Amino acid sequence: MIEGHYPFGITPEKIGEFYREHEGVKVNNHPVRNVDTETFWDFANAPAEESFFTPEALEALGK
Amino acid sequence: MSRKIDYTPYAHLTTEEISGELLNIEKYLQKYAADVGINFINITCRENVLLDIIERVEKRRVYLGIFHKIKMSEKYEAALYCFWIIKLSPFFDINNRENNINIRFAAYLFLEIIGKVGRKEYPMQQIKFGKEHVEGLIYPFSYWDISKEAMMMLADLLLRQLYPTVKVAQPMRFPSP
Repeated sequence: MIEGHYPFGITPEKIGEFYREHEGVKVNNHPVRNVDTETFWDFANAPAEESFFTPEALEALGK
Repeated sequence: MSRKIDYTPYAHLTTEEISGELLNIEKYLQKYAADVGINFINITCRENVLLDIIERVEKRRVYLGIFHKIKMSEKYEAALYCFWIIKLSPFFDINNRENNINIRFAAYLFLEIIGKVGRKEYPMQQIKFGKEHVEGLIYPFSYWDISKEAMMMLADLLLRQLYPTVKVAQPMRFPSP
């Protein structure tokens, strides 16, 4: 992660504040997690050799 | 008589894990914006809504893992993210107020993940999504009542339609109501 860069402006403090507003459940790792080193978003961000969309499809996705 | 609780209670993701997820979502949104010709700087985000979505997907992963022994696959996770993005609309394109960016971003994510999953299993089979595929999702995503489970089923069906011989490792095993 780039030092000082917070995606969407969401800082660790804001994340903490978000959780305090919820149930206040203790944060720790759950056994269901950490099964894979690659997360879903790593998979999504993996570069593809070729786009899956035609130019017309991309236009329709951005209208 | 109270029953003994003998399972691990749900626990939130750590701040580091969430920060990593946020960074990856931002990266993917940048990719979407670049691909479809939107200026990423004009996309704003409702912070708490996005955090809520990450949490809800995580809860579902834990639920499936504990109660159904199902490891959530990429296509199911994509379907879940799409469901929540459509329902809670975390993003807004300030340059195009008429456009619901959430619907189109969800359609992009949904189709691309289906493509990537298919290509992973069948690298020789080339798939291109056309305008008709996009428009075939935009209307249902905008106006139909599609549940989380229906969205996951849709991902499964589309994958099987595109790759008829695809092996679905983990069939849906949700209990009857």
